[in-house]
Amino acid sequence: MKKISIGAGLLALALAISVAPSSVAADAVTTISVSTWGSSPSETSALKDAVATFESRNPTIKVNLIVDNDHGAQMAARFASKTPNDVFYLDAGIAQDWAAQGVLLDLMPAITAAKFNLTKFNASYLKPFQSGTKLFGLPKDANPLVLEGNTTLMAAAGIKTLPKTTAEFAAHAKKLMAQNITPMCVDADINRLGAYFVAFGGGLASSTNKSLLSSATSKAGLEWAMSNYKSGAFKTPAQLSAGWAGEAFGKAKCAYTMEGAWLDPYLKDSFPDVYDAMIKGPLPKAKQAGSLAFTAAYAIGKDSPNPKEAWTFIEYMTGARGMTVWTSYGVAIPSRSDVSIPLGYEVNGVVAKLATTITTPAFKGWGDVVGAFNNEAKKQIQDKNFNAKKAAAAIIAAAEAAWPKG
Amino acid sequence: MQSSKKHSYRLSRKKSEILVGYGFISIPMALFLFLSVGIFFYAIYISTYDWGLIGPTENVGLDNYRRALSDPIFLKAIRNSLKYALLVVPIQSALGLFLALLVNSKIKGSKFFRSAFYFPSIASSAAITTLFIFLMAPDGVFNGMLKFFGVDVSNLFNQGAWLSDSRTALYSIIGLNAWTTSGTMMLFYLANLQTVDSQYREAAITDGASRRQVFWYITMPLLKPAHFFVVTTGMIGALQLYDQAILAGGADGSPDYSLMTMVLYIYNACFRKFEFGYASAIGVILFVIIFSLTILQKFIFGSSAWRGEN
Amino acid sequence: MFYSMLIFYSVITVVPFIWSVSTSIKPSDEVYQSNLIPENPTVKAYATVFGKIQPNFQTLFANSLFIACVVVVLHLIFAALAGYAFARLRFPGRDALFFVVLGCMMVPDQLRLVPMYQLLVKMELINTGPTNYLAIFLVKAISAADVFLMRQYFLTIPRELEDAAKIDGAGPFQLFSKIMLPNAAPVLATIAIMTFQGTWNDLFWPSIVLQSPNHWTLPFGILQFKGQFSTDWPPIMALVVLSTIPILALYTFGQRYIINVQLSSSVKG
Repeated sequence: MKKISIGAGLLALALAISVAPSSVAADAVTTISVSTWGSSPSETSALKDAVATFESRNPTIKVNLIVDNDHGAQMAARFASKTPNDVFYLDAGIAQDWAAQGVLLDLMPAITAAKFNLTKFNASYLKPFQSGTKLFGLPKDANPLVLEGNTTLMAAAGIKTLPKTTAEFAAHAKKLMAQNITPMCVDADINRLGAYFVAFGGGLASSTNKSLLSSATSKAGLEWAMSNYKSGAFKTPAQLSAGWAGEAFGKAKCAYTMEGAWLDPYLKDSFPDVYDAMIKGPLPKAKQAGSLAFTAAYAIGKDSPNPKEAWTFIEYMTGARGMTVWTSYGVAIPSRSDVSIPLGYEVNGVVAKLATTITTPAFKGWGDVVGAFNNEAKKQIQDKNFNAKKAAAAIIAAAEAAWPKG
Repeated sequence: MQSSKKHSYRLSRKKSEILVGYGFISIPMALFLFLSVGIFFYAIYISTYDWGLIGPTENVGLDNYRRALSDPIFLKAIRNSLKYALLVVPIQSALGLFLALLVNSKIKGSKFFRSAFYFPSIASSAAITTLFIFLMAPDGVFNGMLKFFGVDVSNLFNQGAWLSDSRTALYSIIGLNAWTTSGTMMLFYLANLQTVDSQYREAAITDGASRRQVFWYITMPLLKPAHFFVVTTGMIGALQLYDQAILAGGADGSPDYSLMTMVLYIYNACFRKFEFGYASAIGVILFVIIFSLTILQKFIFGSSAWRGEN
Repeated sequence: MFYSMLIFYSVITVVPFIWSVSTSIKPSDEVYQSNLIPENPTVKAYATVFGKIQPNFQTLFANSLFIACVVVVLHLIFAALAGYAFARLRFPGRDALFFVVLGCMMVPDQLRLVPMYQLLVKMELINTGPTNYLAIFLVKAISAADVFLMRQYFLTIPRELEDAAKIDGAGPFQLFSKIMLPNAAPVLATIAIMTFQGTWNDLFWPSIVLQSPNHWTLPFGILQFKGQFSTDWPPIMALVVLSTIPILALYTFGQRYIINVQLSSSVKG
């Protein structure tokens, strides 16, 4: 029986220890928890700085930042236990799934009450979070894909400027491969290759969420990408022993990559030499200039414990002032028209404003399409002797099969 | 007079034995009934519902089961899990037995080798899989070794991308786990070997049996309890493959769902799609598979092994 | 030939770990070089994992240790009590109940996932507060395999030991605490070590149940690190090394129990 009392003692001790810090907080201060994802330590520290400016303006609210590894899964667990964070990042691609589950708080009442001006937001960034008259999140920023080049590696192959067209890219690729340099690192992911669907005149989904993948133009874009994987002009991060394309680019394993502004702080941190040698431009044009833009929102859960304070936080972070602070770190560009694009990110701003930059689709079941596309794409390119046309057809067929019916 | 006193003493002793017996098992049994048996039936109950993040919405009968058995990704997950189990269990058992025989002989440093062989079994799967991913990267140590032995990795069919090629990913994980688990299996065999009377073997050798004959006709049958234990626990463990799959292939079991296992599929149904009823149905199917395989093994090894009798 | 085989396989088992130590002290530009001894060794990676990242190694370690210790204590108590009762005491329904225990061994954790989670939610144990630890304790409170193991071991203890005490008038409870438990020390040690190792290394339940970074355990921490640092290997390897050392020490300390006791009793019975 001694053991039981030891066990109980241990338990009591642990409870006492873990209770202690939280009971220190002063009475008038409310602590809200904000859960996010982070692609690099420096992105997280940028967010911490932005949050600090919020806290200094709102001394009665303290923010506890949580960086999730698998944000979607961890949020789902919290929703199921009715303990969502007060505020959390809401990915555009999953917003409609969560909204359909009834776990998100409609922000419209708070927006109306606070006379918060929605017209400053780009409409296509709001759309993923809208459902009828309800709005489940306010876009915190935006991020289009641009072309990044490593001037050191480009110079080694006698290249001075970024390729402006797919034809120029092909010429560059030839020169680079002659020097044993991998031209471009890009994952076989619909969230990257989709940009070429657009560049070739196609797209991903219509405004009514019907698939555009099978159109001849989208197919042409994918076939072009596949032929690049075949020739070695494209390589996936895995093929270059990297966790993601930014890492391969940072390790100077490729001359080009196509990422958003999140690449910058990561490079600045981990690979300063490559950061200094980096230039940016729009993705190579085919029929037209095309790109994909990503957005994510701040949202509140239906069961979030402090919705009032949570809204205060969102109002600040997605307002002109908060967004100016946050985007000044160059992690993303503003989603508001009244916040100027920070110096050094003009290219991203220009690309974002292009008529042919589309935001990634956001409807219930889009995640399945992404999974089916990416799995099939990786399978198709793993065999060196694949046929680009057949591979493209198989990938599109797999994605179409996963497209939600109706 | 005397005998009746003795009788009552026995009775009270029996009574107190019953009382203490129930007392001792009360909390453990309550926990079993609550945490395993009750939960088991609750799982079956949930599996008949359309059950989302905010709770059950409607009873759908067996729809969740029908849906699972017609989902190609789930069928692939079953195939992967079975393929994995059917390959990894024999390999790790054979390797474990082989290692046990190696270190069981009275040789110098057998203690060191025993520890060395068991070493991979003690680290957490998260640690060891992470290490494995690092070693198996296209420009990692493994390919470096191949190159040293004159194998040009870039000419291999998968260009040395062992874990990111759907044709080699599952086999790489099989290799990994056969290696890590064989240490544990070795211990099971060692324990059994040490209880096997060496006089049987010596007698056989005096009778002119060859070493091979001794192994197949004397040692192997005497190791039946260990065989049963190793195969049963190995199979149950193998069908629950999760850690290595999610670490190496992510939640989709990429590439091409080659690392999608039944358990990973349950995880996705729960925490990506929030379909708790559906996830429960998959759990029940997993149980049925494990249960039938265990019963099957019981028949193969005979029921005496079940009770651990030699 | 025989020795070369032994040595070859030892190399296969031990070298990867040496490699992880080596990688953890390499500067990032040497990570993919094949030199085992770094040219410019650095402890930067260790500074990272001990540093201001959240949660850092100290937090993860404390959680792993705390959770593993409590689970070990629970397993020992319940396995000893039930194991003894099933092995030695006669009471109605004993065999039927033991059959239930055997059945519990076959219920996979993944089947328990959804209902267990729902249950923990209803009990309000899925939270970011200290009661969140209770959720993991409840999930892992008891192991049918340990009860089974304990019973098998008690069966091997000669009855004569008890008979002497019985003549002295000892009741079942005294028999248990004075005779059986002391004699079962090796198997208790084995259960303690195996349970500690299993809990320490578990990734599945902590990743589902533990809500706050302040509660995470080491394996979950490694998974998180892999997400956060992508393939920045030195800090990840530092965490791999640090999380393996305690379990290595435990094994070195307790290996004679594991090898000599647990398996002979569980296999032979």
